Amino acid sequence: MRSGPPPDERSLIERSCKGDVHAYDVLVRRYERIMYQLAVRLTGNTDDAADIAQEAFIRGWNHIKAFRREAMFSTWMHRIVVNVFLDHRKKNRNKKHISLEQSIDANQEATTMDIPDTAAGPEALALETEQQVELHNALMELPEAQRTLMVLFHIQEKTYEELVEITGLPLGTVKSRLNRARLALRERLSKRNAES
Amino acid sequence: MDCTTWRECASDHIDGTLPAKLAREADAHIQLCPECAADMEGIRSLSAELSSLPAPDVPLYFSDNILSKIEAQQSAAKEPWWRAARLGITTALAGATVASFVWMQVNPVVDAPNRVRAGAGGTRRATLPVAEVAPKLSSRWMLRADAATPTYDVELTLLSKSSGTAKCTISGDPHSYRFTLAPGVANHFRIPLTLLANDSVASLNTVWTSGDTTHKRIEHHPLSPDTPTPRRQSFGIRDLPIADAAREVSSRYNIPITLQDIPETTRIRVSPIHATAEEALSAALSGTGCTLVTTPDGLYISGK
Repeated sequence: MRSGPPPDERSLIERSCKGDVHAYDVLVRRYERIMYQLAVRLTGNTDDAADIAQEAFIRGWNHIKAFRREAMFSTWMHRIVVNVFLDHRKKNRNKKHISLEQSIDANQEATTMDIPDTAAGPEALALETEQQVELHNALMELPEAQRTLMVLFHIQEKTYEELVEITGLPLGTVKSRLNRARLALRERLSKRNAES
Repeated sequence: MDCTTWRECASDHIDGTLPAKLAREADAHIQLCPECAADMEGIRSLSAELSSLPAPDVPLYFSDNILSKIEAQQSAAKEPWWRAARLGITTALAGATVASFVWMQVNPVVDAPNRVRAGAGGTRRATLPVAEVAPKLSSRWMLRADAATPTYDVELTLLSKSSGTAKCTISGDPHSYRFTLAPGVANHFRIPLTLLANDSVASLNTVWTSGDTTHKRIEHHPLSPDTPTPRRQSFGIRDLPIADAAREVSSRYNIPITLQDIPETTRIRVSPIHATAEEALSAALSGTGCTLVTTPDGLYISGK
């Protein structure tokens, strides 16, 4: 049973609804770490994560009046971060093409071209062990919907009920998708281990 | 129970949410199937492994930037129609300035020695800071963006009784300019905007001597003073020398800032939250021994 935000948070939300930027700033500072880390795990990239988390907080401010008081502010923000992430993926899906034609010179016998690796390296994500790098890569290979549920459930430690609230999916769908995601991640890791 | 059925209910089995009868069947299957048993163990350890992934730190000034964007958004929403129209005119003027700049590149008509001319009159009177920190050298700045040669015209006048000398340097110009200051006589300093093409602020450094005292003054003037900016802003500037931090503030708030005799080695951090330029600098300068004064024409910081 949800009781809504704690009293001090309720007051901050009320003040934010009235246009008090200072009150919203307190909420941002309270949840910036959680939301940024959610975005990092969803995108696998610290630059995109910062953009997504910032946009989510700005969207939160623009729609704070639509926030239902019986919900938790953090759950609501989780939902916004996930939505912003999915919107970004949709927008960028067709953008990341590198033309190989532009650098080919017909007179050259051999043609080489550096294709930039846009994925963040392990250093940027503070991954320390080989195992963590493998896990991160396997997680990034999962389809977005599965990755989102894995991150929310296992890293952000959300309950099934919260997953329902965040994703807007029925409980049965959340459970079956999470089940498939767990099996898929397990398979990818087993495959990687077998290959290495 | 077979492998396919177990896989369909693996999560519920692991989480212990299967009905008792099914749970018994799943347990029995795991006892008999090493592959599913390995999967079950693997999935169980996933949770711990995933939560052990290190969490990167939040970028510096993350929340400040959010607040800054929200404030900019609010400021834009509040902007009346005539302000937007004025912005349009300013943009057109800037276009004309760029055109003049390009024309000047092709047909240069102003020589460097002409930049300093004594005795010519200015048009806008800058109000001096309050008496206790009033410098003996007054300055007026006038932006001539629509002139054939777009310039910032600066008028320096020595207010003391004895004459003096001054050496001026301009941001973007490697040369320095020296001239003699006669008491009460206006000296014009003309800064071509071509020198400042890549800057948002014009900075003039003046070292001047009068009587037996030498002073150092830095003046930051925004190049587009009419462009509206939020009066209150949130942002973060890392530790910088006072002059550099003031330049950044001048650029962000579009406000002229004059600094006189400030300690060169002292560094300040400016990280206002929904604050005016005065509030931001006042907080940053506390403990440095510098005095901040608000004048009708901008801010004035004195180190003595």
